[in-house]
Formats: sequence, structure tokens, C-alpha cells
Amino acid sequence: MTSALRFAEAAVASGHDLFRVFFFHDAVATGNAYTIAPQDQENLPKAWQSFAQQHKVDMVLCISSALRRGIVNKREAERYSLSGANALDSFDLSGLGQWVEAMLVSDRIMTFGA
Amino acid sequence: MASLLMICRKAPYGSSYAREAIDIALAASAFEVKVAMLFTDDGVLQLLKGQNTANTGSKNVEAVLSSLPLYEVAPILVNEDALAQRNLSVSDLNMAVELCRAKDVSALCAQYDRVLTI
Amino acid sequence: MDNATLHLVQQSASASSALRDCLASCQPADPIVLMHDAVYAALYKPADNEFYALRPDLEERGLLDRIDKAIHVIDYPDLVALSDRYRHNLSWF
Repeated sequence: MTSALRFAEAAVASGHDLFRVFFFHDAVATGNAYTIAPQDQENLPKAWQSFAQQHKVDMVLCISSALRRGIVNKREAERYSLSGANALDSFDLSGLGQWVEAMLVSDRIMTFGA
Repeated sequence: MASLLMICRKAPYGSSYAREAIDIALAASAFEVKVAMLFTDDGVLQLLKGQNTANTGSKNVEAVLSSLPLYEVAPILVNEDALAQRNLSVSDLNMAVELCRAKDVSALCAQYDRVLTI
Repeated sequence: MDNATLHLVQQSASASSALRDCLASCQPADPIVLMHDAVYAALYKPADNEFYALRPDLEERGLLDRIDKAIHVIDYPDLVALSDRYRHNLSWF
């Protein structure tokens, strides 16, 4: 997911509008606030969070991918009676319709799968 | 009406890609996107007849895929080279499909507004 | 805008079928970008297509001075420009 972030930074820097970053499959871990990076390594969730705040980019965790992997925000934690939430505030949990909408309004979609 | 070609390359149970691809196809279809699916590489294994998930607790990919025509997902394309490499033929598949070759992928992509590999 | 398809190969050619499947499906005019572990395939040129490899991934793996001279080394802004130039891109992973 570092490469997706580097690509997103380069796209914004070269004047492109980034409509949405949709985190799908194992990439939903990027929204986990409880991620602790070793001291000499980049904390990817925090890096995405500051990127999104700086450039006002919409970031969405696929809700079914996230729930399956135990990543929930306050709303979902309450819905499923869980003791706490672990999704970073910068990420929304939402459905695949968000991906479809982004696909429809954007000139390009990029997939970072590895 | 926007169109989307989904190129499905993963075997059905080793990862959740196959199920997630189906979810994307249905979501796009609900947004009135014309969705086509191309099964190639290990993706052709998703279409095999006789998948039985009774003892594994997973969603039956064969059963879900067979409902795609109800959602007007069409055409369902299959790379016959990928079938042949796996010693399989259309008679091993659970639904009516259109056959294509690996080298047709670029020409197929050109017919759609958006393409996605999954 | 170019009607060839840009291919992004994202997994090692020896550990996954990503590169092989990409090569089976692509046209001679399609450019291919090697990234992540796929950059190991830059040690030899896998086919006659135009090949690009992502510099940070090459550097990380100690490959920058070892790759085939016919492969273009690119940075993220170049990848942005490539994806802008081609109508479709396909990721192989």
C-alpha cells in the first residue's frame, strides 16, 4: 500500500484530482488505528491520514472487507455490540457502491493489488 | 450507460477475491452499469460444476455465479486457452459462456468504458 | 490518448503467474510496468514490449545497476503520466 500512497501523492502533485481512495480486501488494514509501526518504519495508516487531511481526499474502507477482518468504526461497533472501535476517523466505512460511483465519475481507476 | 469489464483471475476459495468480484459486479449492476465478466487464468476455476461448500462454511461461488445472468451481467466470457491449460473444457463449467482467447483481451477492453482485474 | 493498454505487473514472476498471464494477454504495442516484486523480471527483458520499472522498488532490492539496459527506469510521476496517456490500465497481481 506504500505504492498506492506514493502514486496518490504524485498524482495530486502533478495537478490531478483524486476523487476517492477505496481500500478493499486486505488493504482495509490501512484504516486500523491500532497499527503500531516499528520506530524506524513508516506508519502507513497515519501517512494516509495526513495525506487525506492535507489534500481533502475521500477515503473509504470497503465495509464488508473491513467487518470480515475486524475493523469497525463507532457506528459499526455499536451495531454489533463490540467493546470498541478501531478505524481511524479519516476513513469512512461504506459499501461497494462507493467504488462504483468513483469509477463512474473518474477518468482513470488504478488498482494496487500486491 | 457506462460499461465495465471485470477480468477475474483468481481461484474461488484460496482467497476472497472471487466473492468480492461478484459483490462488485452486483453493485455495479445496481448502479445501472453494463457489466461483463471475463474469466481467465485461475479465474476459470470459479465456474467449475460440482462445488460443494457444505463442509467448509464458505459461500458457494458456483451458486452465486450462476445467478449473474439474473442481474443482467453479460456476456460471461471464458478464456479457452486457460481452460485447455488446466485440462478442462466447457463441459466442466456450470453455465453457458462465450469463449475467447488470451490475445482477445486488449480488443475486449477497448469495447468497455472501464476495466478491472481482480 | 493512446488506445494500447498499460499493464501494471505487481508480483514476482517466479512466485506468481502475473507476468506470464500478462504476456499471454497483451498486444505487442502494450507497455508493461514492473513494480513491487515484479521488478526482479527487469534483470532480463521478458518480451519485446516496451518495459518500465519503478525506481524505488528497484533501489530497495539492489537492482538499479543490474537491470537490462532496454528497460526504462521510472518514478511515480512518470507512472502517473503513463496512466494518463493510456485509456485503460490493467493490474496483474
